[in-house]
Amino acid sequence: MQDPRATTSATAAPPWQQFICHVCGLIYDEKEGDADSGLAAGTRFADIPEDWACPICGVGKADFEPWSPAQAEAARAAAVRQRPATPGRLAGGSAGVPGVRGTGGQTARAGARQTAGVVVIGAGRAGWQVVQALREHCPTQPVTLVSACAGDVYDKPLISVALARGLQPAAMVRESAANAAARLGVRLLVHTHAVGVDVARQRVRTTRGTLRYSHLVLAQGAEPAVPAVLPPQWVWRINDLAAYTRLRAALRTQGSAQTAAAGSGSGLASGPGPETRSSPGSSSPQIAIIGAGLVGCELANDLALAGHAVTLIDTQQRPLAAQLPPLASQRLLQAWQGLPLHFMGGVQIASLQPVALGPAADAALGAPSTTSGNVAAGGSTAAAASGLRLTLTDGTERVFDHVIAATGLRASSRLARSAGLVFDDAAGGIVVQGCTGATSQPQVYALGDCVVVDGLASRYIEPIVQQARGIALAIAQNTAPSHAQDSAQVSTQGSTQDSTQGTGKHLAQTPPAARAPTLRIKTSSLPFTLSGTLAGSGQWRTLEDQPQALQMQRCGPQGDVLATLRAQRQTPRAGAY
Amino acid sequence: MALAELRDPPPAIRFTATVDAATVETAAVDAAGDTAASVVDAVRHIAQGALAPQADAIDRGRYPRELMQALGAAGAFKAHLGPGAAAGDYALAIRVMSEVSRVCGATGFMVWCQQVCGLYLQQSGNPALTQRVLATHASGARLGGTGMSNPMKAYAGIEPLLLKATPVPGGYRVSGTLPWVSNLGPDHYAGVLAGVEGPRGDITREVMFLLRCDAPGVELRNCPSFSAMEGTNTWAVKCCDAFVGEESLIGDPARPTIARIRAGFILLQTGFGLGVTQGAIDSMWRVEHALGHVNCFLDDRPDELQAELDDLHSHINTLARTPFDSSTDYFISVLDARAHASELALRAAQSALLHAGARGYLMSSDVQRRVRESHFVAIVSPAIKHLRKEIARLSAPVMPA
Repeated sequence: MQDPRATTSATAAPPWQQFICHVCGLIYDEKEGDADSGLAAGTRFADIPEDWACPICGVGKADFEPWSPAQAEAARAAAVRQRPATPGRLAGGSAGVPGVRGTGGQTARAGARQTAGVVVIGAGRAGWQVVQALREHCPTQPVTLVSACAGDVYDKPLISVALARGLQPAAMVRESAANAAARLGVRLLVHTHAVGVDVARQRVRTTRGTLRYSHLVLAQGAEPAVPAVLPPQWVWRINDLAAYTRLRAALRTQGSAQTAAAGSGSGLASGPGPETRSSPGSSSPQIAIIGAGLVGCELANDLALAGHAVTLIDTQQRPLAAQLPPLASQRLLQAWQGLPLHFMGGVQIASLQPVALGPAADAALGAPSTTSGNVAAGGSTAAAASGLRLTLTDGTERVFDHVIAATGLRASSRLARSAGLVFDDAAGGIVVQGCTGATSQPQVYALGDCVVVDGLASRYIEPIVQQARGIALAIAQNTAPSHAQDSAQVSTQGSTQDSTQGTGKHLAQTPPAARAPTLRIKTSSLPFTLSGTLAGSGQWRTLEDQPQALQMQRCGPQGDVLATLRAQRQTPRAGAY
Repeated sequence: MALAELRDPPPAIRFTATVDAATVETAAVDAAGDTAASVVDAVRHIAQGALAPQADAIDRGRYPRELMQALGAAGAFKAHLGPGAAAGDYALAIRVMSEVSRVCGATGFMVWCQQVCGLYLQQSGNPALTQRVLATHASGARLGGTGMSNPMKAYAGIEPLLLKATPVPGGYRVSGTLPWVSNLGPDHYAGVLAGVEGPRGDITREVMFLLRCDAPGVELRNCPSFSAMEGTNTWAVKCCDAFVGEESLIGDPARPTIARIRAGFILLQTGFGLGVTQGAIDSMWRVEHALGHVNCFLDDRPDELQAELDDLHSHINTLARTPFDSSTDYFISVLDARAHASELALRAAQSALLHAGARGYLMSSDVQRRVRESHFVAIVSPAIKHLRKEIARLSAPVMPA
């Protein structure tokens, strides 16, 4: 079909264009002109005098760009898509019925006038666990879950074995946040940061508004604690799926860039010193992992199994010195032989510097800066391709493509400070009672990696289930003491095994036995299972020491078994990534 | 309602407001003999004396030059400026702003413009500014503003930089237009920032400088009318190859200067929101006797708002002790306090209107004026949405990629 505007020379004219002002949004329509400035209807933008100024804000033509109504529609559609889908409130009386949804499609808007009910800060394992427990014990209580990240449900321990199991980061999401929220009937605010707590008025200030809470549960998790000598813009900290996804993407990019560079024979810039870099032709990035604790060793093992050259660095002489007896560390090092995994123990870091700063290192305004931005400025990723020079206190220098810090965790004290909560600075967490998760402020609870009980943090999955239940029961009792809900059996999709589910009748009067959780160290080449209290007096003795298996026991003076250790050597599966 | 026109202010300033025949005398304040309380008293005396009857006219377009200079003489513009580059008393500066904003939002806002421009001059480390401009500025003898709204938004990725600078011998040539800069006039100046263009036309760094409104190539152009605060002498500033010499440089490169002043910039602004909130609360109490029996059915009652305001002000005073704290955690607290002040001003001003009813809706009423002022508190850079975006950005960890 012929375009009626085409070809007939007498009537041919291009359609009227519209232009939008960057600064104030005014639309200049060629068809309308701008009478106040003396521009007749039909004045083409190109024909507007150069000294014309936007009638609203005064900027010049250079600050206008072409615009169409279709663009505005696309922008609106994108904004609607970005809003997290949330259900409405649970209808009253629908005790524990799974999958009850409120009026669908409501967008999440915080407002001080609405009571958000129980507000949970953090949608990690602890956050979702306590939400689940609340639904079991207080089915009709409004619950609002606030998450700084996307809030999707995943198992963080899988990060440590993802490469060996051939798992893509996207595949690690068990359930989307929106689905879980709908299933549990809770209001969800994602990409929302809690900024401060007003305990007197029972309000939480967030980047999407202020929430009025009946009870507040802090499940904010812990953050990597990194020594000052390691600048954050050069160092990976892997404590969540988002960071892990970015690391994996960077490894893929780096790998292909290096393959290209190696293939072209250009080689890579390298500093002086022994063993600085893999030779041209190698496509594997050099990775340093600083900290040979639980996370460091697991990540090192997993990356090495995938073929990455990993140097694992610690101030201690052996890996997992805090958890394992010396023999066990030795067996682990033996299991790592044959992998491109090199352990450097008993060393300290003096500095970490990029090898070459790119010209865009001092990036222009309008792009995130290195000092306060989210991502290092453009120049720095170029610099990372040239390498990061790690200098030890003994003068040794190594150049790496990536540096990962696995140097411990501690909770941010920001919310605790604003709420006036007692915070244990040494252990790095909010002080709570073990059985109820109660903090030093009424109506405020906490659980998971952000808490400290009796001076100790216990940053594992296992305690979370108990803590969540304790909090839910405490809140249930607090909300309706004479009608405390018996826990209805709520079917929970993909939940972990918890033998105590469904027995909530005893309202957490007895604290659970104070024992350390079973610890699984998922170093795939030689995984460990430890039970009991690992530290303290009493010698470790070896029960079995085979190439494939190790069994040890720690006994007290009366011969009582205080701790057991089992390790079973696995044949590493090569994993694609 | 004409007040005696003022030229170069002599040490003793005397003027008369003919409407209520109040006479205000302000003696030059000797810095060494100041106490915070005496400064607050002097400012309040002006605000509730000569300024109050002018607030309406200022809202509609009258620029209160002589009142600004009286406030300057009372010490309103220098409380936060310590010796050298040190911080002075930021809590006092905020209190001063609040006392003025309580009565007239426009004048309160201009007090902030003057204060923050003083901060730029003080932190410039440029003797041409610190030794030749700062003193007359801090006393209010010379008046100036700040055009940093655009760079702030550019820094947050909200809009592009509008001023571009090209290096030339002795300084820069600057072109571009800033749409709205307040507290300007032919003999005024403003702290602004331009992107320095490299050979390929990309921005390679930024330069912050004092732009004098009477410099060649600088033109003040009319803005369309605003909903409120028309007396703030707000103009569009158009630069066409305006020469900026080294004697005008505040920060080159600008980033380190911005990093140092950004918390103080925003902290000082909180006085505006605190003051508008207090003004709204004042107006609610004024009708309590007559309308309390029905106003008790409203939310956001003056006693609740006062308690929240007092807590927030106290929190801000704590933050004000360390205005040059460069930590991200501190800056997030400052940003959130500013957001909180905006939210509180919006709620309080609207509640005051509901409390006052029809009498508050009259054009002559300060109550409806304050509603429009509260809108400005919430949208003047950094606006609530901008603050929240920045907090979110700063709360996320810095990563290599």
